[in-house]
Amino acid sequence: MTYILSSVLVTICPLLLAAMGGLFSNIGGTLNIALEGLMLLGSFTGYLFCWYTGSLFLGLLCSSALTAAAAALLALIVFRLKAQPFIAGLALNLLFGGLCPILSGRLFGTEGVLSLNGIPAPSAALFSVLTAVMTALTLVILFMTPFGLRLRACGMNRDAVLCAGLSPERLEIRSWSVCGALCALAGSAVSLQLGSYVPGATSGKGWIALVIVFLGGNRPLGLAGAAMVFALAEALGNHLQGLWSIPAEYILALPYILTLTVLVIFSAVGRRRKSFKSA
Amino acid sequence: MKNRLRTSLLFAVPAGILLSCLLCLLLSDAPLEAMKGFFFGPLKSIYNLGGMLNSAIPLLFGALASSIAIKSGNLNLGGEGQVYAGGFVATALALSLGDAGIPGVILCVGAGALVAGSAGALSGFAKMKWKTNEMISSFLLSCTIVLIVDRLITGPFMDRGSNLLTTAKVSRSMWLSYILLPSQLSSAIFIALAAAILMKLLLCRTRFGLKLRLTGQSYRFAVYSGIRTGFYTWFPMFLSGALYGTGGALAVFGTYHSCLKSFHSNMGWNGLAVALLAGADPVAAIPAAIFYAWIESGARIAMQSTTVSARIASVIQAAVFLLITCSVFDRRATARIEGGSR
Repeated sequence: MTYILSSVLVTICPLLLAAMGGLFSNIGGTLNIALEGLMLLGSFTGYLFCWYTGSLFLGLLCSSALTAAAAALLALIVFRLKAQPFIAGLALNLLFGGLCPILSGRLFGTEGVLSLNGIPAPSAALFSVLTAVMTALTLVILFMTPFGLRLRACGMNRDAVLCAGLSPERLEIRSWSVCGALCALAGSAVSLQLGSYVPGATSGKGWIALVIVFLGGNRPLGLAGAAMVFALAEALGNHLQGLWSIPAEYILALPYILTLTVLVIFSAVGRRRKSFKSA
Repeated sequence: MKNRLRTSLLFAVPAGILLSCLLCLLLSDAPLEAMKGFFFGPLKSIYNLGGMLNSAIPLLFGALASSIAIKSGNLNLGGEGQVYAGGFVATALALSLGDAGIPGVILCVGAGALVAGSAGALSGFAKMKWKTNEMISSFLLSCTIVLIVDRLITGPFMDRGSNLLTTAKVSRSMWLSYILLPSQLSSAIFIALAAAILMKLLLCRTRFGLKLRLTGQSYRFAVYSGIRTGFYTWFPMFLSGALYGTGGALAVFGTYHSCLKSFHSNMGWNGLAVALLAGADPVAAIPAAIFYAWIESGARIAMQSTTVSARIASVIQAAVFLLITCSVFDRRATARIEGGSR
């Protein structure tokens, strides 16, 4: 039982952190597709800066700052240059998918697994506490501060924000920067908990975070619930893999199937409650 | 849409080329060699040229699949799984048929397309019935399919005599002929080109295509016009999946001759990318697919001769997309945007 609990905690941290980042962007009206790429960047730079500075705190700080800047750049392209958010997000995923191995190759001579010495090992509970803190902070920022109110207004009615004399683009760029910082923490959670940078360790997690944002209904606690469902499915699957000899791939597929089922049930049930909306 | 395509393309393609030069300069110890390899490598020999065109075939099918979905107002993110499923089902059927020749190929490709199309149709059906987001459902389904097929290939269908993780090879009579020896270019390219022209005719010259595009452009208008929007929601997803599956199956019969594990890698996403590059137009997808394949091949060839990483292809492709999608470069689109809220 404790094994399942600990593996749930390990799985849920990156997912929930990235989902919080996605929430910041989604609540402003435009879903940030680039969670995957930003997580990858955060994973790589988190590992890199922790090694370079020798301190977890500084490493995470620098990594978050850099990823936030990248997300802000993406937001600039989407909102000021009027790029299509989906394509721009895909492009960013592609960009960092290529850039990180290239940098890894230039700096360390290998595009594969990095196992450097001198990385401070995070304590077991560090990222769990961090995730909980970030969830609470997200709740506070989005629902108890003026910035959060304006951001939510931006998502509900852009014209209202314009009429209030604010710039929706600026709000969205700021929220996307926060999204970037959170994705960096999510990525760092993966690489630092593993103790080495494994290219592809974060692959797929960004997309799952997007699904969690979608299922969570724009509420931090809803997101936590959805993330918990997913993490539980994965942890149970891993546990069952040992108990019964089900092939590994089917176990790996279990979270996807579960999320898909939950998604379909949610939409089928939710439709009865919602009033008529344009398709 | 057409204007936006031309203007942004005018910026994006030269910028992509400039960026490739810059990256070669920065990342390679022999930048001129790298640049030569990158731009002219795919054209240097029949082998390289044929290889480049061959890799454009699944890209073209993927682009057609994504274009149909986009035109109908959907976004099919399940390409990876659909390509894999199509290829695998076709291989499995071919292995059980034995020496079936070209009729066998047609049957197997059809079967692959059917299964892959059903995967797409599932998402479409969920969207029609329950307004489930088809992006997410198709993506999740694709992840599941990939894992299941992986398991089938490494388990019951594995060819123990081969060094690779793959099924057994299909019978010789079912291999598509090579048309440009010594390269690997197979006759599937003619099928791909025909499919592109067919899709364009279907979308722009038939009532079916008109209704499909109307449903995509304005759902409410389509409903009030009496179009069966339900059908035009799930059927394009079926077609999209079927096209992806055809691409996968033809890749098996034309190039790999067996279902290799993860042969679908990036075919789904790259197909979507090419469709976006082509503005979701089936005929424009032909040069777009060749351009995309050229960047990929160029990067690989540059890597083989110098120390440049093959990943620069991703960086260049990303930059090209970012530039293509910035509609601020198109004056008409900007005027439309500033006229009202987005």
